[in-house]
Amino acid sequence: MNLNIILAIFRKDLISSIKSKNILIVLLTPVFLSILFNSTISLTDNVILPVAVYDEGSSVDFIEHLSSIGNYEVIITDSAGESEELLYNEKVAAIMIVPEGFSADVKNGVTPSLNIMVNPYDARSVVFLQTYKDIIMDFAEQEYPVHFSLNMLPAGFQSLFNIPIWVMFTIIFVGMMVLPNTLTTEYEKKTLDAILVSPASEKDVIYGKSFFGLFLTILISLTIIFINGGFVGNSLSVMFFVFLGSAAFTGLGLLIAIYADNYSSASLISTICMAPLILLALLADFSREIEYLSYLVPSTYVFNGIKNAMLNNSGISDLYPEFGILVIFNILVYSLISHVLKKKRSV
Amino acid sequence: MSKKYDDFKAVNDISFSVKKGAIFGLLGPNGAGKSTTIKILTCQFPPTSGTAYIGGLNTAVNATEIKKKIGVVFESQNLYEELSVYENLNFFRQLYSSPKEKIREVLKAVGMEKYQKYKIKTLSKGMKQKIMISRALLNDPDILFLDEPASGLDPHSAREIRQVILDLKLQSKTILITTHNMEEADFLCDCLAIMHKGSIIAMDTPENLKKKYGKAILRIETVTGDIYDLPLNTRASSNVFKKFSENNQISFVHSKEATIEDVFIILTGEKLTDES
Repeated sequence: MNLNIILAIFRKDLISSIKSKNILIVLLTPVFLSILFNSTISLTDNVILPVAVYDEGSSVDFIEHLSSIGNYEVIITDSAGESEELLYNEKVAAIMIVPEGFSADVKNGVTPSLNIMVNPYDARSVVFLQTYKDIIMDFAEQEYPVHFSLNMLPAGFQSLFNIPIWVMFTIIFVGMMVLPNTLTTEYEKKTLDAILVSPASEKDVIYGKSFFGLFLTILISLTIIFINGGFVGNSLSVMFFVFLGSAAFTGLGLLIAIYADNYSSASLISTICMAPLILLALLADFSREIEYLSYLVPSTYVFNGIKNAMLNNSGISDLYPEFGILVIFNILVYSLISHVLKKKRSV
Repeated sequence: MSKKYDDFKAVNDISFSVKKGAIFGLLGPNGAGKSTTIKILTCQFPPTSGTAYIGGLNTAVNATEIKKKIGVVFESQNLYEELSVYENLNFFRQLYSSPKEKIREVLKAVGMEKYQKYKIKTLSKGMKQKIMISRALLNDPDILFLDEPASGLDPHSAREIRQVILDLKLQSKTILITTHNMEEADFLCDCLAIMHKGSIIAMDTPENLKKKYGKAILRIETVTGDIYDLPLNTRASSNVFKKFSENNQISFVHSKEATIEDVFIILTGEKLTDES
């Protein structure tokens, strides 16, 4: 192993990725997505919901009440059919068909029916479903039978929950999609042959590429954490998990590239592997079965490690199972790479 | 040495040595085993049987030492297209730990010093080939391996590349070249090995090969349009020429020297085309 050669390969890959606009765009995708996602979430606070309302008779005061809600843009229609048409044409997020005598029934304590229809493909309908019951309770001048004590987390905390997700996504994405590409391109353009007739060995190439992958992943992860104000909790632990996760998925990506030999096969294998790696870590809380399965993928330990370090201020001593498993996983992956290279060379 | 892929023998029990400072050519069609031979000699993989030595070092054992002493120009133009000439050469310079000044020196050797800042993808095929040669010179190698160096180039670029190769010979570089171009082999090589189906079927200087296997011909065209091909420099052909000459029957006379192509056809029974 020659450090000068490893650094030369690292520098060359860095210059190539800066010069190749495609790679640069792919690399910046996670950063851009995290900004877009957090901006979208903050926008839902001020979203204006277009709602079509058809009054079958005598509920003017209910419609006026709806109109007084700042977030609702009430569109009064002349028929139920017209309301439905607006919904089908995605002009409104929801429709309400208010039956004859609805307002009077509500005020008299009778329980009337209210026909509501939402478009599940319209993201704004989620906001409607979260608010319409409260609006009707308010109209009926009723109160919940308990007083809620609702404490909001500090401003911007919501985006903190998303940072571990985006960092995990970045680590997997760069390690398993971008990095294999740099090696398979060397195979396909035969530039690897030119490197290997120089004093550089296969191991130097693999370590040079790993170093490059590690650098990129850590740089993009730190950018995401910085942009989203995520330097909170135990930053040292966060960095440890970012490093271990980057090394693990960079190694996995290189293993795929060595095995695949060409870009299309490597991309296919990476894509197939990425989905369960991301989903199992994210959905582990949904069911016991998924939770058990999630223990089999390294992304779970990266995600849990970063999340707990960031949100619960956990140190390495608190997170030793995740830390230990990732260390073992890295040793296994890099031993496997050495073994595969040795085998390939002997063939 | 031999190289087998499963049951297929890509290189079949070949043996040759190259004198220091000479240009040695491996001539043959695709699949003859030329590139496999070069790959063994440049330590890209070991032979299945036998041993190859470069400068007295075993390719299977002393790969790292050998790689420092050799330069390789590949058949495919494997440069980093997005990077500039300088960036390409600087990367490989770092692999060899050569000084930075070497870049200017090797570019000057191929007449490309003005193109340092040009991106590889903006260069012509001939220019790229010169950059490939300059890359192979970065470690100041004693031995150069050139795999089809002028293949696919226009005649002008091919001539320039051949001149660069001859200039390198003047610098006492030992050069091993593979080609399927007969004229190139004849023009450049001090010694030539003709490969066919993995084996070396003839090996000598181009002159000796032509003498040994080729036929020099005296062609006489008579006034009646008949053509006579006679072996050159023989008493029989001299007599025939005298007879036609005395009767004023000669329209044209040509002498045709044997070519390497003739030698190849005689030895293999096949023609060597650009496709092969």
